[in-house]
Amino acid sequence: MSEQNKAQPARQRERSTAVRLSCWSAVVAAPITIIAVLITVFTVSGPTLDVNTAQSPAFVAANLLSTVGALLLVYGLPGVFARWHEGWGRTGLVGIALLSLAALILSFVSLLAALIDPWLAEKAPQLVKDPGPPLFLAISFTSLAALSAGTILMAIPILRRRVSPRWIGFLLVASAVMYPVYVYAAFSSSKVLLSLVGSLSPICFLVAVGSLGYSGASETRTARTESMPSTAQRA
Amino acid sequence: MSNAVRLSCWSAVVGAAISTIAILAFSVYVPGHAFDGAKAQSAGFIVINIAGATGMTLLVYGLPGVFARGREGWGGLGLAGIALIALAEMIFGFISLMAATLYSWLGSVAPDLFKDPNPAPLVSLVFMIWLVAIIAGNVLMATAIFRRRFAPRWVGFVQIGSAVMSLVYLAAALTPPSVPVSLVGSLGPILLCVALGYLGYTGASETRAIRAEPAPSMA
Repeated sequence: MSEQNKAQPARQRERSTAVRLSCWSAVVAAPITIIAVLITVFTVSGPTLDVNTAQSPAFVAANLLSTVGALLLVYGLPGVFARWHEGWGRTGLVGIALLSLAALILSFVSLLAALIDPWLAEKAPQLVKDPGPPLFLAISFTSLAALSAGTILMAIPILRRRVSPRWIGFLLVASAVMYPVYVYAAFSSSKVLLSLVGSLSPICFLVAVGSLGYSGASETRTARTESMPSTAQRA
Repeated sequence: MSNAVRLSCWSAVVGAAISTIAILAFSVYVPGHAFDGAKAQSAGFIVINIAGATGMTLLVYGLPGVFARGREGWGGLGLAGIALIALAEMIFGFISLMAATLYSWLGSVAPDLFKDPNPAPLVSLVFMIWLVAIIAGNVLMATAIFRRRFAPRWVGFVQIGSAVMSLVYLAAALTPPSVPVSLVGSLGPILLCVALGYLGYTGASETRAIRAEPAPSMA
Protein backbone atom coordinates (compact mmCIF):
# COMPACT_ATOMS: atom_id res chain seq x y z
CA MET A 1 0.00 0.00 0.00
CA SER A 2 1.46 3.37 -1.00
CA GLU A 3 1.93 6.25 1.47
CA GLN A 4 -0.88 8.18 -0.21
CA ASN A 5 -3.30 5.27 0.09
CA LYS A 6 -2.38 4.87 3.79
CA ALA A 7 -3.00 8.58 4.35
CA GLN A 8 -6.53 8.51 2.89
CA PRO A 9 -8.31 6.56 5.72
CA ALA A 10 -6.45 8.65 8.33
CA ARG A 11 -7.59 11.82 6.55
CA GLN A 12 -11.17 10.50 6.40
CA ARG A 13 -11.11 9.66 10.12
CA GLU A 14 -9.79 13.15 10.87
CA ARG A 15 -12.57 14.75 8.81
CA SER A 16 -15.24 12.59 10.44
CA THR A 17 -13.92 13.59 13.89
CA ALA A 18 -14.23 17.26 12.94
CA VAL A 19 -17.75 16.70 11.57
CA ARG A 20 -18.76 14.78 14.72
CA LEU A 21 -17.42 17.53 17.02
CA SER A 22 -19.20 20.15 14.93
CA CYS A 23 -22.48 18.20 15.09
CA TRP A 24 -22.14 17.85 18.88
CA SER A 25 -21.66 21.60 19.02
CA ALA A 26 -25.10 22.01 17.38
CA VAL A 27 -26.57 19.52 19.88
CA VAL A 28 -25.22 21.48 22.89
CA ALA A 29 -26.20 24.84 21.35
CA ALA A 30 -29.89 23.89 21.16
CA PRO A 31 -30.72 23.41 24.90
CA ILE A 32 -28.49 26.34 25.95
CA THR A 33 -30.26 28.73 23.60
CA ILE A 34 -33.72 27.34 24.48
CA ILE A 35 -33.01 28.02 28.18
CA ALA A 36 -31.84 31.56 27.28
CA VAL A 37 -35.03 32.18 25.24
CA LEU A 38 -37.25 31.00 28.11
CA ILE A 39 -35.42 33.10 30.73
CA THR A 40 -35.77 36.15 28.46
CA VAL A 41 -39.54 35.54 28.09
CA PHE A 42 -39.98 35.68 31.87
CA THR A 43 -37.53 38.52 32.62
CA VAL A 44 -37.97 41.03 29.77
CA SER A 45 -41.54 42.20 29.34
CA GLY A 46 -42.32 44.26 26.25
CA PRO A 47 -40.08 46.10 23.81
CA THR A 48 -38.38 48.45 26.31
CA LEU A 49 -35.99 47.61 29.11
CA ASP A 50 -36.10 49.14 32.56
CA VAL A 51 -33.07 49.89 34.70
CA ASN A 52 -33.74 47.11 37.24
CA THR A 53 -34.13 44.44 34.57
CA ALA A 54 -30.97 45.57 32.73
CA GLN A 55 -28.95 45.16 35.93
CA SER A 56 -30.55 41.89 37.05
CA PRO A 57 -28.38 38.74 37.06
CA ALA A 58 -31.11 36.82 35.19
CA PHE A 59 -30.97 39.29 32.27
CA VAL A 60 -27.16 39.15 32.07
CA ALA A 61 -27.15 35.33 32.43
CA ALA A 62 -29.82 34.89 29.72
CA ASN A 63 -27.85 37.06 27.28
CA LEU A 64 -24.53 35.35 28.05
CA LEU A 65 -26.19 31.93 27.56
CA SER A 66 -27.69 33.17 24.31
CA THR A 67 -24.25 34.35 23.15
CA VAL A 68 -22.64 30.99 23.94
CA GLY A 69 -25.53 29.11 22.29
CA ALA A 70 -25.34 31.23 19.12
CA LEU A 71 -21.54 30.81 18.90
CA LEU A 72 -21.90 27.03 19.30
CA LEU A 73 -24.52 27.12 16.53
CA VAL A 74 -21.98 28.86 14.25
CA TYR A 75 -19.54 26.02 14.99
CA GLY A 76 -22.25 23.39 14.53
CA LEU A 77 -23.82 24.36 11.20
CA PRO A 78 -20.77 23.44 9.02
CA GLY A 79 -20.88 19.91 10.50
CA VAL A 80 -24.61 19.59 9.83
CA PHE A 81 -23.93 20.62 6.21
CA ALA A 82 -20.89 18.37 5.79
CA ARG A 83 -22.68 15.30 7.18
CA TRP A 84 -25.26 15.24 4.35
CA HIS A 85 -23.39 17.45 1.85
CA GLU A 86 -24.74 15.57 -1.17
CA GLY A 87 -28.35 15.98 -0.07
CA TRP A 88 -28.45 19.66 0.85
CA GLY A 89 -27.68 21.00 -2.64
CA ARG A 90 -27.36 24.72 -3.33
CA THR A 91 -30.65 25.58 -1.62
CA GLY A 92 -29.54 23.95 1.62
CA LEU A 93 -26.08 25.55 1.38
CA VAL A 94 -27.58 29.04 1.01
CA GLY A 95 -30.01 28.31 3.85
CA ILE A 96 -27.24 27.18 6.19
CA ALA A 97 -25.08 30.19 5.24
CA LEU A 98 -28.01 32.53 6.05
CA LEU A 99 -28.62 30.76 9.36
CA SER A 100 -24.90 31.15 10.23
CA LEU A 101 -25.21 34.89 9.54
CA ALA A 102 -28.30 35.07 11.77
CA ALA A 103 -26.49 33.18 14.55
CA LEU A 104 -23.49 35.54 14.27
CA ILE A 105 -25.76 38.59 14.58
CA LEU A 106 -27.69 36.98 17.46
CA SER A 107 -24.41 36.40 19.32
CA PHE A 108 -23.50 40.08 18.71
CA VAL A 109 -26.87 41.39 19.94
CA SER A 110 -26.85 39.13 23.02
CA LEU A 111 -23.25 39.94 23.97
CA LEU A 112 -23.93 43.65 23.52
CA ALA A 113 -26.97 43.38 25.81
CA ALA A 114 -24.99 41.45 28.44
CA LEU A 115 -21.98 43.82 28.38
CA ILE A 116 -23.41 47.25 27.71
CA ASP A 117 -27.00 47.39 29.09
CA PRO A 118 -26.06 46.92 32.79
CA TRP A 119 -23.28 49.53 32.37
CA LEU A 120 -25.63 51.98 30.61
CA ALA A 121 -28.24 51.44 33.34
CA GLU A 122 -25.65 52.64 35.84
CA LYS A 123 -24.07 55.49 33.87
CA ALA A 124 -26.97 56.82 31.78
CA PRO A 125 -30.28 55.28 32.94
CA GLN A 126 -32.32 57.45 30.58
CA LEU A 127 -30.70 55.67 27.59
CA VAL A 128 -31.82 52.18 28.64
CA LYS A 129 -35.42 52.85 27.54
CA ASP A 130 -34.26 54.33 24.22
CA PRO A 131 -34.98 52.03 21.24
CA GLY A 132 -31.27 52.23 20.44
CA PRO A 133 -29.08 53.12 17.47
CA PRO A 134 -30.82 53.05 14.06
CA LEU A 135 -28.01 50.91 12.60
CA PHE A 136 -28.57 48.43 15.40
CA LEU A 137 -32.24 48.08 14.47
CA ALA A 138 -31.26 47.58 10.81
CA ILE A 139 -28.88 44.79 11.83
CA SER A 140 -31.56 43.15 13.99
CA PHE A 141 -33.99 43.14 11.05
CA THR A 142 -31.26 41.69 8.80
CA SER A 143 -30.87 38.91 11.32
CA LEU A 144 -34.62 38.18 11.38
CA ALA A 145 -34.78 38.15 7.57
CA ALA A 146 -31.75 35.81 7.38
CA LEU A 147 -33.28 33.55 10.03
CA SER A 148 -36.67 33.20 8.33
CA ALA A 149 -35.23 32.80 4.80
CA GLY A 150 -32.54 30.39 6.04
CA THR A 151 -35.09 28.25 7.90
CA ILE A 152 -37.29 27.89 4.80
CA LEU A 153 -34.32 27.18 2.51
CA MET A 154 -33.07 24.53 4.95
CA ALA A 155 -36.52 22.90 5.15
CA ILE A 156 -36.88 22.56 1.34
CA PRO A 157 -34.12 19.93 0.79
CA ILE A 158 -35.30 18.02 3.87
CA LEU A 159 -38.85 17.78 2.52
CA ARG A 160 -37.87 17.24 -1.13
CA ARG A 161 -34.76 15.10 -0.93
CA ARG A 162 -35.31 13.44 2.43
CA VAL A 163 -31.95 14.61 3.81
CA SER A 164 -33.32 13.74 7.26
CA PRO A 165 -36.70 12.67 8.74
CA ARG A 166 -39.60 14.74 7.39
CA TRP A 167 -40.75 15.85 10.86
CA ILE A 168 -37.58 17.99 11.11
CA GLY A 169 -38.59 19.75 7.89
CA PHE A 170 -42.12 20.35 9.23
CA LEU A 171 -40.65 21.69 12.48
CA LEU A 172 -38.55 24.16 10.47
CA VAL A 173 -41.60 25.26 8.45
CA ALA A 174 -43.57 25.71 11.70
CA SER A 175 -40.70 27.80 13.07
CA ALA A 176 -40.74 30.05 9.99
CA VAL A 177 -44.54 30.43 10.19
CA MET A 178 -44.30 31.45 13.87
CA TYR A 179 -41.69 34.20 13.25
CA PRO A 180 -44.31 36.98 12.83
CA VAL A 181 -45.81 36.03 16.22
CA TYR A 182 -42.32 36.07 17.76
CA VAL A 183 -41.58 39.54 16.33
CA TYR A 184 -45.04 40.85 17.28
CA ALA A 185 -44.60 39.56 20.87
CA ALA A 186 -41.15 41.17 21.07
CA PHE A 187 -42.44 44.60 20.03
CA SER A 188 -45.85 44.56 21.74
CA SER A 189 -46.71 45.32 25.35
CA SER A 190 -45.95 42.82 28.06
CA LYS A 191 -47.94 39.59 27.87
CA VAL A 192 -46.08 36.52 29.03
CA LEU A 193 -48.50 34.11 27.33
CA LEU A 194 -48.08 35.82 23.95
CA SER A 195 -44.29 35.86 24.40
CA LEU A 196 -44.36 32.14 25.26
CA VAL A 197 -46.36 31.36 22.11
CA GLY A 198 -43.96 33.53 20.09
CA SER A 199 -40.93 31.81 21.59
CA LEU A 200 -42.16 28.55 20.01
CA SER A 201 -40.59 29.84 16.78
CA PRO A 202 -36.92 29.80 17.94
CA ILE A 203 -37.61 26.71 20.07
CA CYS A 204 -38.93 24.70 17.06
CA PHE A 205 -35.90 25.81 15.05
CA LEU A 206 -33.46 24.86 17.79
CA VAL A 207 -35.08 21.44 18.34
CA ALA A 208 -34.76 20.80 14.59
CA VAL A 209 -31.09 21.83 14.42
CA GLY A 210 -30.28 19.93 17.63
CA SER A 211 -31.89 16.77 16.19
CA LEU A 212 -29.96 17.19 12.93
CA GLY A 213 -26.75 17.58 14.95
CA TYR A 214 -27.52 14.53 17.06
CA SER A 215 -28.26 12.26 14.11
CA GLY A 216 -25.18 13.65 12.32
CA ALA A 217 -22.96 12.90 15.31
CA SER A 218 -24.45 9.41 15.74
CA GLU A 219 -24.13 8.49 12.07
CA THR A 220 -20.54 9.77 11.92
CA ARG A 221 -19.65 7.65 14.96
CA THR A 222 -21.23 4.57 13.33
CA ALA A 223 -19.31 5.26 10.11
CA ARG A 224 -16.05 5.57 12.06
CA THR A 225 -16.66 2.31 13.92
CA GLU A 226 -17.36 0.51 10.67
CA SER A 227 -14.28 1.90 8.91
CA MET A 228 -11.89 0.96 11.77
CA PRO A 229 -10.65 -2.65 11.30
CA SER A 230 -11.06 -4.75 14.47
CA THR A 231 -8.04 -6.36 16.20
CA ALA A 232 -9.14 -9.77 14.99
CA GLN A 233 -9.41 -8.53 11.39
CA ARG A 234 -5.94 -6.97 11.59
CA ALA A 235 -4.52 -10.22 12.99
CA MET B 1 -18.87 19.29 -1.37
CA SER B 2 -16.02 20.74 -3.48
CA ASN B 3 -18.28 23.59 -4.60
CA ALA B 4 -19.01 24.52 -0.97
CA VAL B 5 -15.32 24.22 -0.03
CA ARG B 6 -14.31 26.42 -2.99
CA LEU B 7 -16.87 29.10 -2.07
CA SER B 8 -15.72 28.94 1.55
CA CYS B 9 -12.05 29.32 0.51
CA TRP B 10 -12.91 32.31 -1.71
CA SER B 11 -14.75 33.78 1.26
CA ALA B 12 -11.48 33.58 3.23
CA VAL B 13 -9.61 35.35 0.40
CA VAL B 14 -12.12 38.21 0.10
CA GLY B 15 -12.54 38.46 3.88
CA ALA B 16 -8.77 38.68 4.41
CA ALA B 17 -8.44 41.51 1.83
CA ILE B 18 -11.36 43.54 3.27
CA SER B 19 -10.16 43.02 6.86
CA THR B 20 -6.60 44.09 6.02
CA ILE B 21 -7.81 47.33 4.42
CA ALA B 22 -10.15 48.03 7.36
CA ILE B 23 -7.42 47.39 9.98
CA LEU B 24 -4.91 49.60 8.15
CA ALA B 25 -7.48 52.39 7.69
CA PHE B 26 -8.49 52.19 11.36
CA SER B 27 -4.86 52.42 12.52
CA VAL B 28 -4.33 55.60 10.51
CA TYR B 29 -7.77 57.14 11.21
CA VAL B 30 -7.90 56.31 14.93
CA PRO B 31 -4.28 55.91 16.14
CA GLY B 32 -4.06 54.36 19.61
CA HIS B 33 -7.78 53.50 19.37
CA ALA B 34 -8.42 56.90 21.02
CA PHE B 35 -11.61 58.55 19.82
CA ASP B 36 -14.26 60.92 21.13
CA GLY B 37 -17.95 61.37 20.45
CA ALA B 38 -17.39 63.53 17.35
CA LYS B 39 -15.02 61.04 15.71
CA ALA B 40 -17.30 58.11 16.59
CA GLN B 41 -20.11 59.79 14.62
CA SER B 42 -18.02 60.44 11.51
CA ALA B 43 -18.87 58.53 8.34
CA GLY B 44 -15.25 57.31 8.01
CA PHE B 45 -15.34 55.68 11.44
CA ILE B 46 -18.65 53.91 10.72
CA VAL B 47 -17.63 52.72 7.24
CA ILE B 48 -14.24 51.39 8.44
CA ASN B 49 -15.88 49.44 11.26
CA ILE B 50 -18.64 48.01 9.08
CA ALA B 51 -15.94 46.93 6.59
CA GLY B 52 -14.04 45.30 9.47
CA ALA B 53 -17.13 43.41 10.67
CA THR B 54 -17.91 42.28 7.10
CA GLY B 55 -14.34 41.08 6.55
CA MET B 56 -14.31 39.15 9.81
CA THR B 57 -17.69 37.52 9.02
CA LEU B 58 -16.34 36.40 5.63
CA LEU B 59 -13.24 34.98 7.35
CA VAL B 60 -15.48 33.00 9.72
CA TYR B 61 -17.27 31.58 6.64
CA GLY B 62 -13.88 30.81 5.12
CA LEU B 63 -12.37 28.79 7.97
CA PRO B 64 -14.37 25.56 7.40
CA GLY B 65 -13.13 25.59 3.78
CA VAL B 66 -9.53 26.19 4.88
CA PHE B 67 -9.87 23.19 7.20
CA ALA B 68 -11.43 20.94 4.55
CA ARG B 69 -8.93 21.80 1.78
CA GLY B 70 -5.99 19.70 0.65
CA ARG B 71 -5.38 15.99 0.79
CA GLU B 72 -3.42 15.99 4.04
CA GLY B 73 -5.13 16.88 7.29
CA TRP B 74 -4.70 19.55 9.92
CA GLY B 75 -4.91 17.03 12.77
CA GLY B 76 -6.36 17.67 16.21
CA LEU B 77 -4.00 20.60 16.90
CA GLY B 78 -4.88 22.33 13.65
CA LEU B 79 -8.61 21.81 14.26
CA ALA B 80 -8.33 23.35 17.74
CA GLY B 81 -6.29 26.22 16.27
CA ILE B 82 -8.87 26.93 13.55
CA ALA B 83 -11.70 26.82 16.14
CA LEU B 84 -9.82 29.35 18.31
CA ILE B 85 -9.09 31.62 15.34
CA ALA B 86 -12.82 31.48 14.45
CA LEU B 87 -13.61 32.62 18.00
CA ALA B 88 -11.04 35.45 17.73
CA GLU B 89 -12.51 36.57 14.38
CA MET B 90 -16.04 36.55 15.80
CA ILE B 91 -14.93 38.68 18.77
CA PHE B 92 -13.10 41.08 16.42
CA GLY B 93 -16.26 41.31 14.28
CA PHE B 94 -18.31 41.95 17.42
CA ILE B 95 -16.02 44.81 18.49
CA SER B 96 -16.11 46.37 15.00
CA LEU B 97 -19.90 46.13 14.82
CA MET B 98 -20.21 47.54 18.34
CA ALA B 99 -18.04 50.50 17.33
CA ALA B 100 -20.07 51.10 14.15
CA THR B 101 -23.52 50.91 15.78
CA LEU B 102 -23.24 51.71 19.49
CA TYR B 103 -20.34 54.18 19.64
CA SER B 104 -21.71 56.35 16.84
CA TRP B 105 -25.07 56.48 18.64
CA LEU B 106 -23.49 57.20 22.05
CA GLY B 107 -21.47 59.97 20.37
CA SER B 108 -24.73 61.78 19.56
CA VAL B 109 -26.82 61.05 22.69
CA ALA B 110 -24.20 60.85 25.48
CA PRO B 111 -20.76 62.11 24.35
CA ASP B 112 -19.64 62.47 27.98
CA LEU B 113 -19.56 58.68 28.33
CA PHE B 114 -16.41 58.62 26.14
CA LYS B 115 -14.56 60.52 28.90
CA ASP B 116 -15.65 58.07 31.60
CA PRO B 117 -12.54 56.42 33.10
CA ASN B 118 -14.47 53.23 33.98
CA PRO B 119 -15.67 51.46 30.83
CA ALA B 120 -17.98 48.41 30.96
CA PRO B 121 -15.96 45.85 32.97
CA LEU B 122 -16.88 42.78 30.92
CA VAL B 123 -15.58 44.42 27.72
CA SER B 124 -12.00 44.09 29.03
CA LEU B 125 -12.65 40.39 29.67
CA VAL B 126 -13.82 39.96 26.06
CA PHE B 127 -10.58 41.66 24.86
CA MET B 128 -8.55 39.22 26.96
CA ILE B 129 -10.44 36.23 25.50
CA TRP B 130 -9.69 37.63 22.01
CA LEU B 131 -5.98 37.95 22.82
CA VAL B 132 -5.71 34.40 24.21
CA ALA B 133 -7.71 32.95 21.29
CA ILE B 134 -5.65 34.69 18.57
CA ILE B 135 -2.28 33.78 20.15
CA ALA B 136 -3.18 30.16 20.95
CA GLY B 137 -4.99 29.67 17.62
CA ASN B 138 -2.07 31.03 15.58
CA VAL B 139 0.48 28.90 17.46
CA LEU B 140 -1.61 25.71 17.10
CA MET B 141 -2.22 26.28 13.37
CA ALA B 142 1.48 27.05 12.82
CA THR B 143 2.49 23.89 14.72
CA ALA B 144 0.21 21.79 12.49
CA ILE B 145 1.75 23.39 9.36
CA PHE B 146 5.35 22.81 10.57
CA ARG B 147 4.66 19.18 11.50
CA ARG B 148 2.60 18.06 8.54
CA ARG B 149 4.06 20.27 5.77
CA PHE B 150 0.78 20.65 3.89
CA ALA B 151 1.40 24.37 3.42
CA PRO B 152 4.63 26.36 2.85
CA ARG B 153 6.65 26.91 6.04
CA TRP B 154 6.48 30.70 5.60
CA VAL B 155 2.74 30.56 6.34
CA GLY B 156 3.58 29.03 9.73
CA PHE B 157 6.19 31.72 10.42
CA VAL B 158 3.70 34.44 9.45
CA GLN B 159 1.23 32.99 11.97
CA ILE B 160 3.88 32.92 14.72
CA GLY B 161 4.62 36.57 13.82
CA SER B 162 0.89 37.33 14.10
CA ALA B 163 0.76 35.75 17.58
CA VAL B 164 3.70 37.88 18.78
CA MET B 165 2.48 41.11 17.17
CA SER B 166 -1.01 40.69 18.65
CA LEU B 167 0.56 41.61 22.00
CA VAL B 168 1.91 44.82 20.39
CA TYR B 169 -1.58 45.46 18.92
CA LEU B 170 -3.09 45.47 22.40
CA ALA B 171 -0.17 47.50 23.80
CA ALA B 172 -0.70 50.10 21.05
CA ALA B 173 -4.29 50.51 22.25
CA LEU B 174 -3.10 51.20 25.81
CA THR B 175 -0.30 53.68 24.98
CA PRO B 176 -0.64 57.37 23.90
CA PRO B 177 -1.96 57.76 20.32
CA SER B 178 0.76 57.37 17.67
CA VAL B 179 0.28 56.38 14.02
CA PRO B 180 3.62 54.44 13.68
CA VAL B 181 2.99 52.40 16.86
CA SER B 182 -0.59 51.70 15.72
CA LEU B 183 0.63 50.59 12.28
CA VAL B 184 3.25 48.27 13.80
CA GLY B 185 0.67 46.88 16.24
CA SER B 186 -1.85 46.29 13.46
CA LEU B 187 0.61 43.77 11.96
CA GLY B 188 -0.82 41.22 14.45
CA PRO B 189 -4.25 40.81 12.82
CA ILE B 190 -2.89 41.72 9.34
CA LEU B 191 -0.36 38.85 9.33
CA LEU B 192 -3.17 36.48 10.28
CA CYS B 193 -5.23 37.82 7.37
CA VAL B 194 -2.27 37.25 5.01
CA ALA B 195 -1.91 33.63 6.19
CA LEU B 196 -5.64 32.87 6.00
CA GLY B 197 -5.97 34.63 2.63
CA TYR B 198 -3.11 32.54 1.19
CA LEU B 199 -4.51 29.29 2.63
CA GLY B 200 -7.92 30.20 1.22
CA TYR B 201 -6.44 30.98 -2.21
CA THR B 202 -4.51 27.70 -2.45
CA GLY B 203 -7.59 25.84 -1.19
CA ALA B 204 -9.79 27.43 -3.86
CA SER B 205 -7.18 26.72 -6.58
CA GLU B 206 -6.74 23.07 -5.54
CA THR B 207 -10.49 22.48 -5.38
CA ARG B 208 -10.87 24.01 -8.85
CA ALA B 209 -8.08 21.75 -10.15
CA ILE B 210 -9.83 18.67 -8.73
CA ARG B 211 -13.13 19.76 -10.30
CA ALA B 212 -11.42 20.39 -13.65
CA GLU B 213 -10.12 16.80 -13.85
CA PRO B 214 -12.21 14.89 -16.41
CA ALA B 215 -15.12 13.02 -14.86
CA PRO B 216 -15.51 9.34 -15.83
CA SER B 217 -17.72 8.94 -18.87
CA MET B 218 -21.00 7.04 -18.80
CA ALA B 219 -19.50 4.32 -20.96
